[in-house]
Amino acid sequence: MTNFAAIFLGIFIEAVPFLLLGTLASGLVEVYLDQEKLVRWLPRQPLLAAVIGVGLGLVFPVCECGTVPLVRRLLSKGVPPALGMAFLLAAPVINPVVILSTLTAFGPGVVFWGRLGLTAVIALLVGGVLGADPDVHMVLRADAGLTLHCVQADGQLLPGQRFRQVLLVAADEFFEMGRYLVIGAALAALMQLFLPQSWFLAVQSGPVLSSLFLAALAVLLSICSTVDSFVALGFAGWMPVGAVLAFLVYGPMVDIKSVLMFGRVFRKRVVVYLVVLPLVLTLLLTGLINVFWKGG
Amino acid sequence: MSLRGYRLFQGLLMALLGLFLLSRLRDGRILLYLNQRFVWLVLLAALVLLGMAQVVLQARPGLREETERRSPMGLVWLALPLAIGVLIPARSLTQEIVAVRGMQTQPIVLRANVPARPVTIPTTQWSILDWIQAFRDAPDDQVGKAVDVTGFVFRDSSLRADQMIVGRFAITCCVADASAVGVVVHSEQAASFAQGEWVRVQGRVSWQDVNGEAQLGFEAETIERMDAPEQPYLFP
Repeated sequence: MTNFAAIFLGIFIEAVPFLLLGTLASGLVEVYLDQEKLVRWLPRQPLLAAVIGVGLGLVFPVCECGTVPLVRRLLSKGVPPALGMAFLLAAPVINPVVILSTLTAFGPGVVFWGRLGLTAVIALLVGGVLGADPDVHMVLRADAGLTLHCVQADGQLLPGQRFRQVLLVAADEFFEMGRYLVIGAALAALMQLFLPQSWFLAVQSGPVLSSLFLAALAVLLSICSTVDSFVALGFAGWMPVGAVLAFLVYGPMVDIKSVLMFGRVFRKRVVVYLVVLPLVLTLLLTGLINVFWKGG
Repeated sequence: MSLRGYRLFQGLLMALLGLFLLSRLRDGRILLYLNQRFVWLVLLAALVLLGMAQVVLQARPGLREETERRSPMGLVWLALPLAIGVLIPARSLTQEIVAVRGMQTQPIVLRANVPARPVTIPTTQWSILDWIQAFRDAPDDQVGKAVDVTGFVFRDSSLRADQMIVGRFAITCCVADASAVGVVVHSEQAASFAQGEWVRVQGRVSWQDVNGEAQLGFEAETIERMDAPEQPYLFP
């Protein structure tokens, strides 16, 4: 029980700052972002919108715990679904904090550029596919909580009142998404205690199986993308480079806690696509890297 | 539950979560969950939680919100980590976890761009992690150097009766990524130490025969039993 408590609290405490960051960003978007201007400025063409979504993490540096509440809020403000879905998948990697941590861990080599490039390509493709229909209700659940403490941008509110409003929105989001963090952390802790890692080691060879092994391990460990590079370093010496990339690309997109959060916000069909499409693309692209990359 | 009641419990829970994190930071037990590099983030989160709690507790529902009802279930979920943190004493991972994760005795990379221990620091102050890094960087240079390390005893079927592993958990981020790292120790007394027991090993680096393969390890001169250290983890 003490091992469960240690791992569960380790994941929870490590994720709380990033969940708070995401919910505060969501609160700022809700209170300060003018819906009409936003809708007017952003492109409606899915692929173009997805391109902007891929780079938006550079402005909103949130990791996987924070993207779900922020994307829900952005979609409710009229952001095109293609942009929202591309941002959802890309932001946990293509943001200043993760770029810096990956650079620190691996240097400017194949893993660093591969992580950014593969994440951008996968987010672009999946965002373009899932956001092909501009109707936001095609991706969001009917009860996605869009009315949750919605605040109209009211010019009459004083700056102090607006800021308090930001914190109230953030508090509500923290409790709503936090429950999935708690469940996800508990599941990850249980799996870590009862699923021997030696089972995975049996399939470490082969270009696709090795990638599948590390992608599955990333989902199982549910480590925040801001620090997963340092964990991936442990595999760098004995696993193919494509497999290490699978850990670094798929893990930030999909893990136990983020899937639970997806389920609260998106339609079932969309959740399945969000899990399966990035996995297939990750295995395909990293498998090709494993076959053709000869080091250097 | 009325919105007023919901806000009251929501604010109290956020304040308690913030205070829980601050208490763990104050007594140092936060390092039983995380690498020290992330402590400042937890401090920031605790302060933000307390600030949000104050705003939530001071919030007065508007006229339209007076009749709003909210489910308290969301509050219950966030109360769980608080309850676990308060009711279950903070302890380090036990060596049973090694059975699930395995023990890494070969040179590994846990963090790039980290310089090896400066030569000015005596090797008797090196940790198991420093030794593993040195074994990777310049194996032959390490033979004969003086060793003084602490760790828990681990033994598996690949070791002879006069061998054991002295190990520690290394944490890169949080305990979820803890990996057990260890070095093989040769000593005639090895069999007298129990699995998981904490020991201090003094001796010299030497090549060891492990399951027919040469591997750098420690030739023990003395092995003392000791209590587990307050900070049992190593942070790469």
